[in-house]
Amino acid sequence: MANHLLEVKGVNIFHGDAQAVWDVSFHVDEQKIVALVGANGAGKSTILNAISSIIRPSGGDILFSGNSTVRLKPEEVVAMGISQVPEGRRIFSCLTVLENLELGAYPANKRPYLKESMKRALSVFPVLESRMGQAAGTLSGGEQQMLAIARALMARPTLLMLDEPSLGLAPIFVSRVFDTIQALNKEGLTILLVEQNVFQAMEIADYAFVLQTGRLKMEGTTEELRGNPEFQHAFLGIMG
Amino acid sequence: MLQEPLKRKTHLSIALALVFFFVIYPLLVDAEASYLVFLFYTAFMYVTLSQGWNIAAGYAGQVSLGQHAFFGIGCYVTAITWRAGTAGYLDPLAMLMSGAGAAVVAIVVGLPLLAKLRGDYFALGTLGLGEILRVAALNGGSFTEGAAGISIPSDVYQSIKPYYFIALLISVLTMLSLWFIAHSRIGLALVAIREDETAASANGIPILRYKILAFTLGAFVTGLCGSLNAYFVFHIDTTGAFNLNWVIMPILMVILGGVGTFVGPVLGVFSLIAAFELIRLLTPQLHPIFSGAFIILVTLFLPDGIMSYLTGHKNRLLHKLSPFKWLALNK
Amino acid sequence: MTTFPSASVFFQVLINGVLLGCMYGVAAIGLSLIFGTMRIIFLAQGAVMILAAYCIYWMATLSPINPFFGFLLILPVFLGLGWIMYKGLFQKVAKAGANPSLLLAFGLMVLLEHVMSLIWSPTTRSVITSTSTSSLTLGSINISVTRLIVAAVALMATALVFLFLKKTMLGKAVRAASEDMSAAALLGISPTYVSAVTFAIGIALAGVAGVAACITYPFDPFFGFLFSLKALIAVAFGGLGSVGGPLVGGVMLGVLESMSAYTFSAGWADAVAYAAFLLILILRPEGMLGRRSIEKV
Repeated sequence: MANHLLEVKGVNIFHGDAQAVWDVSFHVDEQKIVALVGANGAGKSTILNAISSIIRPSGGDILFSGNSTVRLKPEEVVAMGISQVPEGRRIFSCLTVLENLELGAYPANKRPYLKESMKRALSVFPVLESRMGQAAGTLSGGEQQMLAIARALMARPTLLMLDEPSLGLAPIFVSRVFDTIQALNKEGLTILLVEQNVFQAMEIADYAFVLQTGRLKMEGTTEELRGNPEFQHAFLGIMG
Repeated sequence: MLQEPLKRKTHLSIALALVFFFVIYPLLVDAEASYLVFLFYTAFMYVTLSQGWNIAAGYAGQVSLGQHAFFGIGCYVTAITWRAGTAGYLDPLAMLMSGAGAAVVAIVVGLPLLAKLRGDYFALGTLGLGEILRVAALNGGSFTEGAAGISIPSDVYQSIKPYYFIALLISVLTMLSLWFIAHSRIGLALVAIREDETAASANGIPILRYKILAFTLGAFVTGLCGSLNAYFVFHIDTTGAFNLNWVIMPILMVILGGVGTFVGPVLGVFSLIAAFELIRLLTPQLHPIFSGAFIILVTLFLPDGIMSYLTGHKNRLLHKLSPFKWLALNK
Repeated sequence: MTTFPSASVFFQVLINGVLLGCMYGVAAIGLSLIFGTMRIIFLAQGAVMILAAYCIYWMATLSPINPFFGFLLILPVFLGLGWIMYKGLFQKVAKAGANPSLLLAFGLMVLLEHVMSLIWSPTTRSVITSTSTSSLTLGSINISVTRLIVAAVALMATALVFLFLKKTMLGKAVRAASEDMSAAALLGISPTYVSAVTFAIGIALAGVAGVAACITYPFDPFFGFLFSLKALIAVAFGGLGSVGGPLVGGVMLGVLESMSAYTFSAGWADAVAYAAFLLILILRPEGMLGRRSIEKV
């Protein structure tokens, strides 16, 4: 229990009348990369949105550093130190790259560090520096993903959640994004990674939880899972 | 589709009993002096108008704000044909022509609008249609007689009963058609279009044809109401015929009752008329203010409609139609 | 149908149209901002304008204050009013969806119209200002001073909103939220807060447009709906969700109306405007200028 940074306990989530997530429990330890893997529709994004308080779970609890977050508003969760890079990047394409980044530091407790955070974000993604005045919609797909991650970093999170960061990217960008995630983790950032690209995710993750149709199927260190025949059959056989 | 847990047979008996009651009621009382008979007549008109909007907006998800255009067309077709001597008093042929006139306009305007526009833009386009027709009628010279409007000799009026029974008949026929459509392949197709247009199209549903069908049917029955109204008021001008009330009141009633439900709009019509009349009786001078306040209160406390309250189901449809549904999930 | 007898008449009609259009533009920006975050057509916009008009009428009748100061007074008062309206009415309903919000806006319109009619009677009123009869003469063109001031104030209000959206963090958050509300929420931007701010600004702009309207036109409690429609058309001309678009759309509408009133008749001006509105909706639903092109300028 001691150093679970994030703990999801028996969470049930409904989309309208349909239950999307069934009694899922998992945890993310400090300074680790934890992967949440599973096929499309397994409920991964739904769980991230519950952690971000975009959706309220109808049962169970979510603890961040021991404090429950389920009753908080999305902005309060961000202020606490949980940032999400949503699926599909969701950058503001009509705003400039600079404005996108500035908005990353929107919460009142993050704004004093705006300049500092900007420096750090640009040191992680130097390519953005030359694009600052450009409308974000004009960036390439890979650059947009970098912007989305940089924007989340502007809030100086303790836990960074990435939803399908490799989706729709050219292979060269995929490996660059994963390298960046690994580098950020080395600097002390805790990562919760949601991926369909199980093979890539297993490369960098320390620990993984496997979801199937809204239920937790298995979990383990990446080594354990790689040795697990059921896991091999379900994911690596196809992906690898 | 129907949310209530009651059995179909019970439904049928309730419906028949209600229709029976409405048929004999004006025969039992002094219909000419009875205010309730007049209110029922109004209610039947609104049932038709509401379902006319509901079929396109509630079932197929195509929200029209231009129903007053079809109502107005109905009024003017009847008034003009009567003035020309081609139609008689309460002439079924003139009424059908009025409905057909509205339906033709719905097809002509609906083709480009429904093919090109989605969501709010379709709503705005139909609103524009109503306003264009209103201004056109205002500037129509001797054909529409401009702001003065067309007056028809009112000495043919004898009794409210024919109006009452025609309005009842139209509303029952509208309800029947809606019931058959809702329980047929067409109804399924309409709902599929509402839920996900792209998926419906991918599944081979001819989207435009079904949208036009729903929109046109709604326009037709709305035109019928316009025609009956022309015979009732004996004076047709642009303010009366193209009044926004003809679009706003039905929408209000459907939302109050339950969008995309079969029974909801009927409940909406009767409860709204009852509430407005009550307010009018209690505070004759302030009643428009309370009517506005009543609308606000309903949206604040009963946004999903009466049906959802009665059946205990949340009417998810309002959320579905809303681009704000993401926030609806929140909190 | 009449043609223009000379270039100066043409310019006269054009300038009148531009001045009229600035007023539509301001109302349209308010409508467009509210649409941006709440995704509803705020039907009560015109009724709010007329409410501001009556406030100025009252002020001008009961006190010697120049109606032009009304702009300064209305701006903060209506900002506050908008905030209260959002917090008291729309915040809860917005979560239930766009349809209930639309309905709520309609209910508010009916309520405001009848409250105004009760307080100030349904009689048509007009506000006389010190410049009501004066005009500037440029060659053979006459420009009404009142309308000129009104247009200038309208442009200033637009500039203020533009600066707010471009330069302040909150303004940027409003723009982000109208592009993608859920992505904005993930950054810690509170949807209800930005919506309340946007709504307040939209109401304040309606107030400014209302002051502009009342010193140029006679009005009654039910006059507002027409303005809601005009603002809506201006938005359709210019494109939803931006500042420059609706203003340009408003000016286009003003010019179109004044031109068609001259060439056909005043009665047909509205029909021409609505017909252009329908055509634009069908041919270019993103607005004549399109949202993207505006944002980049």
